[in-house]
Amino acid sequence: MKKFLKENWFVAVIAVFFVAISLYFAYDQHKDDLPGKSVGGKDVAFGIGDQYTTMDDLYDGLYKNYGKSMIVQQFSDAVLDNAVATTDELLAEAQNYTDYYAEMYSSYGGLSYLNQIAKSYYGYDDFKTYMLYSLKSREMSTKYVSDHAEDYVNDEFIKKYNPRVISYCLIKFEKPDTPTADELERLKKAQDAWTSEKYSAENFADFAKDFSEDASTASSGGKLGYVDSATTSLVEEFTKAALQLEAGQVSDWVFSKDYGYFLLKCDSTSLADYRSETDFVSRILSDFENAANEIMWSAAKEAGVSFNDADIEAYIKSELGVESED
Amino acid sequence: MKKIALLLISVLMVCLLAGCGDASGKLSDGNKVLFQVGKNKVTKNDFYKVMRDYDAGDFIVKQAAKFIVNQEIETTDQIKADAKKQFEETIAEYDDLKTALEKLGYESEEELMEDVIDSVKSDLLIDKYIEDNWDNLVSQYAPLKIRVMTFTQADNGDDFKTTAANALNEIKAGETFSAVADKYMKKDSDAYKLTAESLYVTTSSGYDTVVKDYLKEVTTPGLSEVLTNSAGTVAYIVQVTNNNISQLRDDFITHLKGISTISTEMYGFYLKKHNFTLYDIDLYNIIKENYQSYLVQD
Repeated sequence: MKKFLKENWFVAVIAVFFVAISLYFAYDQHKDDLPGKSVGGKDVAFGIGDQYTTMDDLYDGLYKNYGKSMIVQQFSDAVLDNAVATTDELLAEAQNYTDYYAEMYSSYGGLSYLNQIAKSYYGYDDFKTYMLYSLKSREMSTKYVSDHAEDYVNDEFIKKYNPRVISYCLIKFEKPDTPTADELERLKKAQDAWTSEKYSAENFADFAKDFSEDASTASSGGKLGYVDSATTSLVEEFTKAALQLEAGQVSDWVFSKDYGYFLLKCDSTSLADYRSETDFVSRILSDFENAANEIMWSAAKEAGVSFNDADIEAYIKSELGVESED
Repeated sequence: MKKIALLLISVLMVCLLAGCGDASGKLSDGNKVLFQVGKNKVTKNDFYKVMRDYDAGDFIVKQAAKFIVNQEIETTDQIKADAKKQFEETIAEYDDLKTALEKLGYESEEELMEDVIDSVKSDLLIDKYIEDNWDNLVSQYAPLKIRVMTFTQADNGDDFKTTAANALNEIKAGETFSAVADKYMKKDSDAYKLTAESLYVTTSSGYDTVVKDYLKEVTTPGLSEVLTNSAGTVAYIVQVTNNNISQLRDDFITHLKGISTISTEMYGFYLKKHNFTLYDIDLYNIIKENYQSYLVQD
């Protein structure tokens, strides 16, 4: 050792200096670090006076306060992640909704407000993540209801809701009670065309493409989609006319004091034609009390579910209305 | 040999720097899987993070407050009696005890009663804080009883300063402050309200800087000279009627209890006293972001 130091004294000096600098650097970098603590071999979360709350105690306390209400959401998110892939399309749709709502709530703080809500009320990192899971839930529900529509649509349902698929053509009046000469002319043109040989119930979609002034549906042949007796998003005169039609029938021109004149067609009253419609799925979810939970549990079983905590298992099953032995 | 030396030095440096950093507390069984759906496993660690981010801050500050209340306020028979009354009033709002416990989220009557007692005690904590911290509070707030007369060009004309000087002379000659105020001030003005004797503290709002600066230096009751604001547009006469803290005690305590931040100051005081410390960096940051005033550790 002596010989080594004698022969390499300069290197040794440099090494000692380097180590000293490193030691000081390490100290300086970390002198303000938060120190940890453990008691009885367990990490401490916080202490006050002579009382220490371990991380395990903190977990138990948080769980007791609101763990149960949050565990169901965690379970739901795990099921949704299995049932619906996070595609680029879904992410883009979630972003679109995020942007839309951020604009809507701009006076409240926009995106930061929404992110705070998503975190505080749902435990998500941000609003976009909340929207993503909402969209996954929609996808999962739509597929399930569509695949199991026969379980829900019986004679009682049909009698109660009179479900159908509707298309329409709109001749738009700005102020329907006092139409302009131009508006009346467009209406007459459409009415004359409809009674001509060119158009009929069979090619109603062509008629709607050619004449409908509703930009949201004209290009798709006037297709509105699922309508039933509980539909509230349409004006009363429209819904009333729609519900009176048999499959394949076209109505007379219907005056709407809000929009102008409609011509409606009942495309179908067959389950096969509306089973995948968004509004039909919504109807099932709202009308059948436990439908959403049934869908969730069905998806969980399909993916394969196992519990390692009896208390959590019992609570989740209770919340989903599932028999404990299921 | 040189290589060995260099290698040893490098290892030493890595050892010095590795393992250092802010503390991150761990659950003793954090990797325990709570449930699994398909390939998705949800562990205790996963669930802890969700609950932590939801509102661990609220839980922690409530636990700390509970400790303080129980350390600082003894559970007397009177407190127990008040708590029992409050308990019965709470239960009365529900059909029965069982329903009340269920709706309020308690597992037992004893648990609810414990919280009610803590609630009664926490109401008394402010009195204790004031008592424990009396000298500091008196020094901080420097309470006085004062009256202020205000003169402006709008109310008293271009020679409002002369008017103020005349008013001062009249008071010195024996007229009462209120009588002189009635003579020179408009009774429907906001400034007229300050002519009534009221408690002033250093955080009181609605007083011009020149008035506050005068009151900082006051050591005995008395009358100021005519004070003028920095723009020269308003004149004041200030009368300090009482600076005897013993006589001002009750009014001062009432005032303190009305201060919106007193509760925060109180908990900051006791958290410091009882050495409230966080040992996990994520919890520390949560408290720092949402309960800044509760962060008292060095």
